[in-house]
Amino acid sequence: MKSHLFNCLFRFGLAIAICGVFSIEAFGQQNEYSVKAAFLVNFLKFMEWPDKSGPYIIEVAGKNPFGTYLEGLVKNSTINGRKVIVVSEKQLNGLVPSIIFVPSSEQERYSDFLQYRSKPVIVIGESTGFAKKFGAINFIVDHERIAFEINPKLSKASGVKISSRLMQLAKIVN
Amino acid sequence: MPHLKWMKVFHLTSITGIFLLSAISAGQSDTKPAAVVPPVTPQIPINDDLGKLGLEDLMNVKVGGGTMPLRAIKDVTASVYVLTSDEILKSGATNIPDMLRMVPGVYVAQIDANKWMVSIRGFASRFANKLQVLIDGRSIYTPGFSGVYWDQIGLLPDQIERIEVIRGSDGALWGSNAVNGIINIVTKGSSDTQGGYFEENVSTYGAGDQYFRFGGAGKKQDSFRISARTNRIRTSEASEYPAQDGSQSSWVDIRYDRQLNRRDSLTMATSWYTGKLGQSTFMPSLSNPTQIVDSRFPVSDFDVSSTVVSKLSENEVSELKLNFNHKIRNLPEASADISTFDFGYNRSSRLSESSSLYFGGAFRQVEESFGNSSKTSFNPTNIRPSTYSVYAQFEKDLNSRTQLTLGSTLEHNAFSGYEFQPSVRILYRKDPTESFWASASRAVRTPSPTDTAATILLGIGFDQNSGLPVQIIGRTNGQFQPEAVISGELGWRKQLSENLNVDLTAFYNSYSNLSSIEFVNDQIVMDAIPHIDSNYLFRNGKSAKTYGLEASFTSRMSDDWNVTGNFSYIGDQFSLKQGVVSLIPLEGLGSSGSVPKWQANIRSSWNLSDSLKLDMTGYYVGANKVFQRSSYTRFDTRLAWTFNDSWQFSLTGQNLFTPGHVEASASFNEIPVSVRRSITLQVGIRF
Repeated sequence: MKSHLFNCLFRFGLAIAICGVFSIEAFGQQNEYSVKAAFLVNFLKFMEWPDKSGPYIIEVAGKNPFGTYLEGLVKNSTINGRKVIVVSEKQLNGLVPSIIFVPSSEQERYSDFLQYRSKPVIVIGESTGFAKKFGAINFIVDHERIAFEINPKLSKASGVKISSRLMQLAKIVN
Repeated sequence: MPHLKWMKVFHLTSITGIFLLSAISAGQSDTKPAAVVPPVTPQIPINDDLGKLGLEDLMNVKVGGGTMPLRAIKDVTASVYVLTSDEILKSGATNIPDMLRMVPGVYVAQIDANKWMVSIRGFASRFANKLQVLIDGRSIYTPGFSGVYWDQIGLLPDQIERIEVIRGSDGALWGSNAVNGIINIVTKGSSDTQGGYFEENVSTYGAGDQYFRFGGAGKKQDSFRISARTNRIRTSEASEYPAQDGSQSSWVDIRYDRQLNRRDSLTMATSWYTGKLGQSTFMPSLSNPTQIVDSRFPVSDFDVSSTVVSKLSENEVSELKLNFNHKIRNLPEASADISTFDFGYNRSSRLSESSSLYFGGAFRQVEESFGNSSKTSFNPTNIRPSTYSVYAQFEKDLNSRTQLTLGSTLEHNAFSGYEFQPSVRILYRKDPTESFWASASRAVRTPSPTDTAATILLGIGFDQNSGLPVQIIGRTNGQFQPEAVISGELGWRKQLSENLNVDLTAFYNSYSNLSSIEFVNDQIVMDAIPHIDSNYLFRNGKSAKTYGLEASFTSRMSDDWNVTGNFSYIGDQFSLKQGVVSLIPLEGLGSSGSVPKWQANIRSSWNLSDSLKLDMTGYYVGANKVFQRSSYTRFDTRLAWTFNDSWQFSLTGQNLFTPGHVEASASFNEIPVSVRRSITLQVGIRF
């Protein structure tokens, strides 16, 4: 029995070794953030801000993981008849953003965003537990797909109305 | 072959016997271990089209954890249907077979409170042996006794992330026994089930179903979940005969996930299941040809697994899996004690922008010991088969619209040696809204101990000429060959409008070496009870062709209302090798007509408000010739009310418009019961 088992394992190992001969070239691609960017733009369609005039403002806090992809997506397009602009924190100049995306690189200063709690701003993160405390929406990667969590308490506090369809697709967290 | 005269009961006995043998001979063995979990959804990068996608489509885009190419489910080169956690929850179903009723082309028939037949593209039986079934990529197709013990899966919607159903053969990726389809149940990670949850289901058929789950997170990017469930089901009303099918089951699951470092993540899981399952079975013997035995037999299952997933680079991911399973099934007619050890390695790599490679291998060691009964015996009673396999699949974009996929598994099993199971698939994307695909593949159902080492009392009858009782005995001769299929499929998917998607598949399968029960001789035995032994041999004398069409559509009527519909047709033609005298006529189980020709369902999912949801599903299931069941319709509905963040209530009605109907017929001599109208109240509390 033992020698048979050993024999099997040996053959199996050999087979793996043969497969391993394929050499693999690395080929970089930032897919995850392209999808997240598309989500951000989509979110605008399913939320209602108290202020219905002017452009939608998406703020990307800190280090921008989208490159120019997000700007490219919203360029020359309108949502609900409103323009969409993408700004960094510095470009904000006192404007109140509609959405703030907080990349995981900003982990150290998540608590800075608590100041938006009762303002009509949806703070969106991308780390485990983010929606529990810091922002109403949080992206998660789930079985190789992007999904998102919504904390209804935080969204209600902001005064921004989130459509039932968005709630339906979200994982609800408290 | 004696000229047999069958009285009513004997007739039934013999028929159930026949079912038994097709169950058994149609055999089992799952040899391909912990199949490979290469992505079920092979497709093409979408790049710049992302901005045009809606939310649902975006949620289907694979980001491969940043490793694999972008993949969207609509580009798959196979008939794939994914039941989402939302659909599963809204079905109100509390067992997997009921969830699978929603999937196009899947045939589900409930036998009694703890047994089901689930099959795809024909060959229905309680032990549907041409279907590979997995939980999180680990096969639960039981070696030894073919098929899947659906009763042992205690997963509730709270724990299920999605159920992926692939219709058709794909031995190249999933190994042996993926002859007619693959069902992969994917459970939620522990980080998705944090906090406490308690659920109580009170039903008109059950005596109580309680579920408790608690999940927590550690400080080192780790999280855990522990859950427990107990379920008691009252004895059903019987159909033709009284059946004592009441049962009691308990499950405990523990799962731990941890990100070990930037590259590797670890998942460890263990589960225990114990149950006492009631049934009434025919156990005919010479001294008591009409004997019915009521039993409450113990079952248990222990499972422990460990998986490490490594993102080797942006373009490469590997998975290492270890699994140990031990199950005991002490059925009075056939008991089994089965231990299985699985080792599997899978890897996927993007070689360039236009090509990808999936490969891996697996090893499985099984130790089976069978208890002999008056009905079934094994020689030898202890069997230790091992299986090893390697597979590779290569995907290449021939141009911006056409993708070619080539792959195969090479597997060695203890019963029939090496098996080669190749497939070729081609996908053509006409435009972002329309795609065509075609595939050709070969797959096998590998032999198992019941094909090679069993002796089974198939039934008792009387010889009209001599007046002597007859024992019909099926034997194996150790030379059973794998059952094989060559399968061809054509598919079409189109987004007809922004809110309407259709999906069509046509298939043609050619089976060879199908299990048959062939007459050998009659022997007069002058025992205490003089009788005739009518001897049969399990062989490979049958072949078949099946063909069919499956269609489904999904339509978003409004933001809050979705309607989906499915229908399927299957036709078949069975034939026997020349000169073979078979126990089962060509219109018998494992032959023509064991599944309904037509099936259809339509489902409406309507969110009345943020807190109120109404779901309705109507099913039509055509007549089943072999089971002698007429067609039936079934209507299920669920109304769910979310009172607040912690309290949820739902009311589920199943089979509402009729008092009850019998769906199945015996596969292993058990007596099928009437599936009744039922109402279930569910209360869920989060804390």
